[in-house]
Amino acid sequence: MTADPTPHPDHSGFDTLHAAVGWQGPERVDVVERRHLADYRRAIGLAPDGDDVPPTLCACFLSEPPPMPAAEAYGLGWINGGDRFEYVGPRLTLGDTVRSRTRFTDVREKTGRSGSLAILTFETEFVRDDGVPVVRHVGTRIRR
Amino acid sequence: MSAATERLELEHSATLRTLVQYAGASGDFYEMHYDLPFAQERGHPELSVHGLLKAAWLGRLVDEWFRGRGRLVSFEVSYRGMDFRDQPVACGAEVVRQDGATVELELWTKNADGDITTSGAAVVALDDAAGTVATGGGR
Repeated sequence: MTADPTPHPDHSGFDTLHAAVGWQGPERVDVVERRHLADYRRAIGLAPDGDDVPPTLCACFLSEPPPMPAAEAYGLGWINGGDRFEYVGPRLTLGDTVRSRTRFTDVREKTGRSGSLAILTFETEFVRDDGVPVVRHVGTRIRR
Repeated sequence: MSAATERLELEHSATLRTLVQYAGASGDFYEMHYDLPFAQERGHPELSVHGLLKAAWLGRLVDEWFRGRGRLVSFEVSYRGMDFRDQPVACGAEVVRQDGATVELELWTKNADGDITTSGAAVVALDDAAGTVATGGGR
Protein backbone atom coordinates (compact mmCIF):
# COMPACT_ATOMS: atom_id res chain seq x y z
CA MET A 1 0.00 0.00 0.00
CA THR A 2 1.31 3.38 -0.95
CA ALA A 3 1.06 6.11 1.63
CA ASP A 4 -1.08 9.05 0.53
CA PRO A 5 1.07 12.15 0.99
CA THR A 6 -1.92 14.49 0.66
CA PRO A 7 -3.28 15.67 4.02
CA HIS A 8 -7.05 15.29 4.33
CA PRO A 9 -9.10 18.08 5.88
CA ASP A 10 -10.92 17.45 9.15
CA HIS A 11 -14.36 19.03 9.17
CA SER A 12 -15.49 17.64 12.51
CA GLY A 13 -14.57 20.73 14.49
CA PHE A 14 -17.32 23.13 13.48
CA ASP A 15 -18.73 23.18 17.03
CA THR A 16 -15.30 24.22 18.31
CA LEU A 17 -15.21 27.03 15.75
CA HIS A 18 -18.74 28.12 16.63
CA ALA A 19 -17.93 28.16 20.35
CA ALA A 20 -15.03 30.51 19.60
CA VAL A 21 -17.28 33.31 18.28
CA GLY A 22 -16.45 36.31 20.44
CA TRP A 23 -12.74 35.51 20.52
CA GLN A 24 -10.55 38.59 20.49
CA GLY A 25 -6.97 38.77 19.39
CA PRO A 26 -4.37 40.63 21.38
CA GLU A 27 -4.37 44.41 21.19
CA ARG A 28 -1.92 45.68 18.61
CA VAL A 29 -0.16 49.01 18.57
CA ASP A 30 1.39 49.84 15.21
CA VAL A 31 3.16 52.90 13.90
CA VAL A 32 3.11 54.07 10.30
CA GLU A 33 6.87 54.36 9.99
CA ARG A 34 8.89 55.36 6.97
CA ARG A 35 10.77 52.13 6.35
CA HIS A 36 7.66 50.00 6.61
CA LEU A 37 5.73 52.38 4.37
CA ALA A 38 8.52 52.16 1.79
CA ASP A 39 8.46 48.35 1.92
CA TYR A 40 4.69 48.29 1.48
CA ARG A 41 4.68 50.81 -1.34
CA ARG A 42 7.38 48.84 -3.15
CA ALA A 43 5.46 45.56 -2.69
CA ILE A 44 2.32 46.98 -4.31
CA GLY A 45 4.21 48.57 -7.17
CA LEU A 46 4.53 52.17 -6.01
CA ALA A 47 7.71 54.22 -5.76
CA PRO A 48 9.01 53.42 -2.29
CA ASP A 49 10.08 56.95 -1.40
CA GLY A 50 6.63 58.57 -1.33
CA ASP A 51 5.02 59.79 1.90
CA ASP A 52 1.47 59.02 0.82
CA VAL A 53 -0.09 56.15 2.75
CA PRO A 54 -2.05 53.75 0.47
CA PRO A 55 -5.61 53.11 1.68
CA THR A 56 -4.96 49.42 2.28
CA LEU A 57 -1.83 49.85 4.41
CA CYS A 58 -3.76 49.10 7.60
CA ALA A 59 -4.08 45.51 6.32
CA CYS A 60 -0.48 45.20 7.48
CA PHE A 61 -1.73 45.78 11.02
CA LEU A 62 -3.96 42.70 10.85
CA SER A 63 -2.49 39.45 12.10
CA GLU A 64 -2.78 37.10 9.11
CA PRO A 65 -3.76 34.34 9.16
CA PRO A 66 -5.80 35.14 12.28
CA PRO A 67 -3.97 33.62 15.28
CA MET A 68 -7.10 32.00 16.69
CA PRO A 69 -6.29 28.54 18.09
CA ALA A 70 -9.83 27.19 17.52
CA ALA A 71 -9.39 27.60 13.76
CA GLU A 72 -7.10 24.58 13.66
CA ALA A 73 -10.07 22.39 14.63
CA TYR A 74 -11.57 22.74 11.16
CA GLY A 75 -10.00 22.17 7.77
CA LEU A 76 -6.44 22.17 6.56
CA GLY A 77 -5.73 25.76 5.76
CA TRP A 78 -6.83 29.31 5.18
CA ILE A 79 -8.22 31.07 2.13
CA ASN A 80 -9.01 34.75 2.06
CA GLY A 81 -12.67 35.21 1.13
CA GLY A 82 -12.88 38.99 1.10
CA ASP A 83 -12.04 42.29 2.72
CA ARG A 84 -14.02 45.44 3.43
CA PHE A 85 -12.45 48.72 4.50
CA GLU A 86 -14.58 51.58 5.83
CA TYR A 87 -12.71 54.85 6.08
CA VAL A 88 -14.41 56.40 9.08
CA GLY A 89 -11.87 59.09 9.89
CA PRO A 90 -8.87 61.01 8.62
CA ARG A 91 -6.47 59.30 6.27
CA LEU A 92 -3.47 57.67 7.91
CA THR A 93 -0.26 59.63 7.64
CA LEU A 94 3.39 58.89 8.28
CA GLY A 95 4.06 58.81 12.02
CA ASP A 96 0.53 57.88 13.11
CA THR A 97 0.19 55.35 15.90
CA VAL A 98 -2.77 53.00 15.48
CA ARG A 99 -4.35 50.66 18.03
CA SER A 100 -6.48 47.70 17.01
CA ARG A 101 -7.93 44.44 18.24
CA THR A 102 -9.51 41.84 15.99
CA ARG A 103 -12.79 40.15 17.02
CA PHE A 104 -14.16 36.90 15.65
CA THR A 105 -17.82 37.74 15.08
CA ASP A 106 -19.43 34.99 13.01
CA VAL A 107 -18.99 31.57 11.42
CA ARG A 108 -21.13 29.48 9.10
CA GLU A 109 -20.57 26.21 7.35
CA LYS A 110 -21.23 25.61 3.69
CA THR A 111 -21.14 22.34 1.77
CA GLY A 112 -20.71 22.39 -1.97
CA ARG A 113 -19.41 20.26 -4.79
CA SER A 114 -15.82 20.58 -3.57
CA GLY A 115 -16.68 19.63 0.00
CA SER A 116 -17.29 21.49 3.23
CA LEU A 117 -15.84 24.78 4.33
CA ALA A 118 -16.30 27.23 7.15
CA ILE A 119 -16.70 30.95 6.50
CA LEU A 120 -15.39 33.08 9.35
CA THR A 121 -15.90 36.81 9.88
CA PHE A 122 -13.37 38.96 11.72
CA GLU A 123 -13.86 42.64 12.53
CA THR A 124 -11.16 45.12 13.44
CA GLU A 125 -11.36 48.80 14.31
CA PHE A 126 -8.26 50.89 13.89
CA VAL A 127 -8.12 53.86 16.24
CA ARG A 128 -5.46 56.52 16.16
CA ASP A 129 -3.51 57.04 19.35
CA ASP A 130 -5.44 60.27 20.03
CA GLY A 131 -8.69 58.29 20.11
CA VAL A 132 -9.89 59.09 16.59
CA PRO A 133 -11.26 56.02 14.72
CA VAL A 134 -9.76 55.84 11.24
CA VAL A 135 -10.60 52.53 9.59
CA ARG A 136 -12.99 49.66 10.22
CA HIS A 137 -12.08 46.37 8.56
CA VAL A 138 -14.26 43.32 8.04
CA GLY A 139 -12.44 40.24 6.84
CA THR A 140 -14.00 37.02 5.56
CA ARG A 141 -11.68 34.10 5.98
CA ILE A 142 -12.31 30.53 4.92
CA ARG A 143 -11.16 27.27 6.47
CA ARG A 144 -11.40 24.16 4.37
CA MET B 1 -6.52 59.99 -15.27
CA SER B 2 -9.08 62.62 -16.14
CA ALA B 3 -12.37 63.41 -14.48
CA ALA B 4 -14.10 62.17 -17.59
CA THR B 5 -12.61 58.71 -17.33
CA GLU B 6 -15.34 56.17 -16.74
CA ARG B 7 -13.35 52.97 -16.63
CA LEU B 8 -9.75 52.02 -15.91
CA GLU B 9 -7.93 48.73 -16.19
CA LEU B 10 -4.27 48.18 -15.33
CA GLU B 11 -2.30 44.96 -15.48
CA HIS B 12 -0.12 43.62 -12.68
CA SER B 13 1.75 40.40 -12.13
CA ALA B 14 3.30 39.00 -8.98
CA THR B 15 6.71 37.38 -9.23
CA LEU B 16 8.13 35.31 -6.37
CA ARG B 17 10.00 38.46 -5.38
CA THR B 18 6.74 40.44 -5.29
CA LEU B 19 5.09 37.77 -3.13
CA VAL B 20 8.00 37.73 -0.69
CA GLN B 21 8.11 41.54 -0.58
CA TYR B 22 4.39 41.64 0.14
CA ALA B 23 4.71 38.93 2.80
CA GLY B 24 7.47 40.91 4.48
CA ALA B 25 5.64 44.22 4.33
CA SER B 26 2.28 42.86 5.41
CA GLY B 27 3.50 40.29 7.92
CA ASP B 28 1.41 37.61 6.17
CA PHE B 29 3.84 34.72 5.97
CA TYR B 30 1.25 32.06 5.20
CA GLU B 31 3.26 29.47 3.25
CA MET B 32 0.71 29.31 0.41
CA HIS B 33 2.38 32.41 -1.01
CA TYR B 34 6.04 31.31 -1.11
CA ASP B 35 6.36 27.58 -0.32
CA LEU B 36 5.40 25.65 -3.47
CA PRO B 37 5.28 22.13 -1.92
CA PHE B 38 3.03 23.52 0.84
CA ALA B 39 0.67 25.02 -1.76
CA GLN B 40 0.67 21.87 -3.87
CA GLU B 41 -0.10 19.67 -0.86
CA ARG B 42 -3.25 21.74 -0.49
CA GLY B 43 -4.26 21.17 -4.07
CA HIS B 44 -3.02 24.37 -5.68
CA PRO B 45 -0.93 24.29 -8.85
CA GLU B 46 1.25 27.27 -7.98
CA LEU B 47 1.99 29.92 -5.37
CA SER B 48 -1.09 32.05 -4.91
CA VAL B 49 -1.18 35.83 -4.91
CA HIS B 50 -2.25 37.30 -1.55
CA GLY B 51 -5.87 38.44 -1.74
CA LEU B 52 -4.89 41.60 0.08
CA LEU B 53 -2.22 42.31 -2.55
CA LYS B 54 -4.94 42.27 -5.21
CA ALA B 55 -6.98 44.53 -2.91
CA ALA B 56 -3.99 46.86 -2.66
CA TRP B 57 -3.71 47.05 -6.45
CA LEU B 58 -7.41 47.90 -6.72
CA GLY B 59 -7.15 50.39 -3.86
CA ARG B 60 -4.29 52.11 -5.67
CA LEU B 61 -6.31 52.31 -8.83
CA VAL B 62 -9.25 54.09 -7.19
CA ASP B 63 -7.07 56.21 -4.95
CA GLU B 64 -4.98 57.54 -7.83
CA TRP B 65 -8.03 58.05 -10.03
CA PHE B 66 -9.76 60.32 -7.55
CA ARG B 67 -6.71 61.94 -5.93
CA GLY B 68 -7.33 65.61 -5.30
CA ARG B 69 -11.02 65.30 -6.22
CA GLY B 70 -12.48 63.09 -3.54
CA ARG B 71 -12.10 60.80 -0.56
CA LEU B 72 -12.44 57.03 -0.43
CA VAL B 73 -15.37 56.19 1.87
CA SER B 74 -15.43 52.41 1.60
CA PHE B 75 -13.81 49.70 -0.41
CA GLU B 76 -14.65 46.01 -0.48
CA VAL B 77 -13.55 42.97 -2.43
CA SER B 78 -14.63 39.37 -2.65
CA TYR B 79 -12.08 36.87 -3.90
CA ARG B 80 -13.81 34.62 -6.44
CA GLY B 81 -10.79 32.73 -7.64
CA MET B 82 -7.09 32.45 -7.05
CA ASP B 83 -4.42 34.18 -9.04
CA PHE B 84 -0.98 32.69 -9.26
CA ARG B 85 2.58 33.95 -9.52
CA ASP B 86 3.89 35.19 -12.86
CA GLN B 87 0.36 35.31 -14.29
CA PRO B 88 -1.18 38.59 -15.50
CA VAL B 89 -3.85 40.08 -13.26
CA ALA B 90 -5.97 42.79 -14.87
CA CYS B 91 -7.24 45.19 -12.21
CA GLY B 92 -10.23 47.27 -13.21
CA ALA B 93 -12.63 49.88 -11.91
CA GLU B 94 -15.66 51.50 -13.44
CA VAL B 95 -17.99 54.23 -12.27
CA VAL B 96 -21.48 52.75 -12.14
CA ARG B 97 -23.45 55.47 -10.36
CA GLN B 98 -23.22 59.05 -9.15
CA ASP B 99 -25.63 60.62 -6.70
CA GLY B 100 -24.55 64.17 -5.95
CA ALA B 101 -21.10 63.99 -4.43
CA THR B 102 -21.23 60.23 -3.96
CA VAL B 103 -19.67 58.06 -6.65
CA GLU B 104 -20.03 54.28 -6.70
CA LEU B 105 -17.57 52.08 -8.53
CA GLU B 106 -17.47 48.47 -9.53
CA LEU B 107 -14.10 46.74 -9.11
CA TRP B 108 -12.66 43.53 -10.51
CA THR B 109 -9.59 41.51 -11.23
CA LYS B 110 -9.42 39.12 -14.17
CA ASN B 111 -6.95 36.36 -14.91
CA ALA B 112 -5.32 35.65 -18.29
CA ASP B 113 -8.42 33.71 -19.40
CA GLY B 114 -10.63 36.70 -18.69
CA ASP B 115 -12.25 35.04 -15.67
CA ILE B 116 -13.21 37.30 -12.80
CA THR B 117 -11.05 36.39 -9.81
CA THR B 118 -12.03 39.33 -7.59
CA SER B 119 -15.18 41.39 -7.58
CA GLY B 120 -15.81 44.43 -5.47
CA ALA B 121 -17.14 47.91 -5.01
CA ALA B 122 -15.95 51.27 -3.76
CA VAL B 123 -17.62 54.49 -2.72
CA VAL B 124 -15.91 57.85 -3.17
CA ALA B 125 -17.12 61.17 -1.77
CA LEU B 126 -16.25 63.98 -4.16
CA ASP B 127 -14.95 67.20 -2.64
CA ASP B 128 -17.12 69.19 -5.03
CA ALA B 129 -20.73 68.01 -5.15
CA ALA B 130 -21.07 69.70 -8.53
CA GLY B 131 -18.30 67.56 -9.97
CA THR B 132 -19.35 64.86 -12.36
CA VAL B 133 -17.78 61.68 -13.56
CA ALA B 134 -18.87 59.63 -16.53
CA THR B 135 -20.54 56.32 -15.82
CA GLY B 136 -19.81 53.21 -17.81
CA GLY B 137 -21.94 50.43 -19.14
CA GLY B 138 -20.56 47.54 -17.12
CA ARG B 139 -17.56 45.32 -17.58
